[in-house]
Amino acid sequence: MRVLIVEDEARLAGNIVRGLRESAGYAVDQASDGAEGSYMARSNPYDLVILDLMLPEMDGRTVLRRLREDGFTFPILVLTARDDKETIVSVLNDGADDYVSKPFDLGELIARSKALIRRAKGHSATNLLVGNIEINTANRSVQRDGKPVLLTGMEYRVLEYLVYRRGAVVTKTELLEHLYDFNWERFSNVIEVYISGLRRKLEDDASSKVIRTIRGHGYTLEG
Amino acid sequence: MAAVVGAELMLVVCLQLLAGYMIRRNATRSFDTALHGQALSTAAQVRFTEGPTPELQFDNALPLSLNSKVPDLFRIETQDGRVLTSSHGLDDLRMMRGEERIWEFTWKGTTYRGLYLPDVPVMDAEENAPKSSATLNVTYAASTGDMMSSLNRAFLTILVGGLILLMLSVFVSFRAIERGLSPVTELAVSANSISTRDWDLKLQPSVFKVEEIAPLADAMSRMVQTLHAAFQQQRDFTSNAAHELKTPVAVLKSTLQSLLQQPRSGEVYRDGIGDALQDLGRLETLLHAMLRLARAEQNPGPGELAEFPNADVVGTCEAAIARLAPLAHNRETSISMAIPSEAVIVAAPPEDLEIVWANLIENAIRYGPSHSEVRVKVSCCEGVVQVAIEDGGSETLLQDMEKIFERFYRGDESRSRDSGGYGLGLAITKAFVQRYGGSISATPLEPSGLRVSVEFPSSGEKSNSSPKNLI
Repeated sequence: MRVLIVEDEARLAGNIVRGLRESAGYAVDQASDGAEGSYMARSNPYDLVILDLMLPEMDGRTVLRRLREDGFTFPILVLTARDDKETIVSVLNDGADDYVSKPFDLGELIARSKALIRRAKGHSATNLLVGNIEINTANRSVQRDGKPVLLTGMEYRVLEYLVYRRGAVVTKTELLEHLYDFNWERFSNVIEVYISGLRRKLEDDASSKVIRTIRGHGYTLEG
Repeated sequence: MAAVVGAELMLVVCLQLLAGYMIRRNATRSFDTALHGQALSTAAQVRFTEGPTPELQFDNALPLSLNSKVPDLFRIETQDGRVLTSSHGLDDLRMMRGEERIWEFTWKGTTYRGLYLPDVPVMDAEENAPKSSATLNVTYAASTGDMMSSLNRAFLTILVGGLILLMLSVFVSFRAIERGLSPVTELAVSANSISTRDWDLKLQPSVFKVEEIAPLADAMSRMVQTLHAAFQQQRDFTSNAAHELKTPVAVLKSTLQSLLQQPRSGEVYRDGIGDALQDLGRLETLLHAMLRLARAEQNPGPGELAEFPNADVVGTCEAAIARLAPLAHNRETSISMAIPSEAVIVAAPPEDLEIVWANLIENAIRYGPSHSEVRVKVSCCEGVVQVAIEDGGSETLLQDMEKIFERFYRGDESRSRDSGGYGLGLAITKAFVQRYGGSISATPLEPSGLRVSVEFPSSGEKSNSSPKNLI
């Protein structure tokens, strides 16, 4: 999953980025003012945008309203120092999906981020079942036939994305766009390495295929 | 109220007693006069008999009785004790009086008032009467019944009339007091409805109709307005302060929480603690600024204004510039200063005045372009001290001119955050300037730049000092 944080307080943004990377395994991009945030949100396929309201250049409220006016549907989580009812109601009415008021709990912010992404992908439960494979998105653990499977961070990210997009054909480009932020170098062949790693750990033989390769298009998860 | 009525009642009773006494005295006097007249006219009926030796004799024509029901009593005797007449066989009417000339007595159940007149000359105008110096002793008594009953009637009239008057006056005063005091009651109801949520003193128009209450109502509504303004200011400040404190607290909290997310190396912890301390430092700076603002916004009490020490404007300006020298050096900005020849004195604590200049000059350095000049101009004419601080090109927008002195106002979020500003500097400056009786204004300069001008009433004696030019 790939998240954009629009926050001018550099240290706060840095802490959120670190939290999301470490605890949720998300790829995270940062924008330090409203104009930059608005531009980045429009040019990359983010799974979640975390938006501060008090921003230089363009205030968060305007960014939020314009993104919704222009038809962007990704979930938006608003950070605000104002926690009066009127502000909250008007922010939600402007198209925000949730809000967290400062000073917030980092763990709560991460949990809300995960929940927003989960809901946006059309799931309510944190536990997802695909055939004999069970994925717990809350603590990022995977079990196969009730036995834990140890995945690397990137392997889990690929699997989580495929599970959320279950049944659809996911192209390599889509995977790259959603799993890497600007700070990571992108090598298309690396995706193949993770896919084969996942197959090795989740499939016994060719007969029990979990991840199917659609030649020339991408991958799809069946279940 | 009851006490007033009681006192009124006492007064009425006393007045009635006094009136009764006076009436009784006058009635008795006129009764005595009548008695006197009766006695004399009765005595006038004593004549000398006709004949060679005239004898005194009572003509039996009885005088009209003083009392309508009971006949008067009288006795007339000559000097040698011969009784000429004595009514109703009352021989010793004289005896009953003792030594008094006028006395009262009861006879056959009737109260009489008697008069004894000695030596009444015999009034016989007839010519044959001997011109003797014979005199008579007359005792005359009449029943006081008529007088007493008319006195009683008078008493009763006074009593009833007095009581009616009293009741009337009590009723009228009750109504008057009630009418007079009802605005006070309404005022109390209005005052009672004032709370921290509702500051509207809803005064009935009737309150202003009563001349004596109107100033009180006016004073109360002014007091409520003053309190409301002060309360609103405090609440705004608290709300702004809480809002401003949230971000640095959020930063500090997230720094510590992200450190604890998973086990980390000692070096990461050390860096994290360094970051947290830095966050804490910013929090502290903000806190100090807010406390300073709270102090600056406290209005000086009556008389306090006169107690402010004198501060040297040029000296405090120089101190502020010296304090900001490192910042100016960093921004490669030069500071020039123009000062008048005489000393310029303002009634304000020097340390507060230095904060005023320092804030203004710091703003000019921070928000003016680098490699530019900040000009500080001190002038004094006609009792007004003016200090103008000009920078070489603030990007403050014209419509922001009014706002720049507001608390927590930031011209540009990103730049002020970077430079550690919380939008309190100018608010503190304005509050201090106003506290010490001055005024502050900002005007844009052509072609670019901002001029902030502070004016104070000049204070203290002027002494010549050597002229200083640009530093």
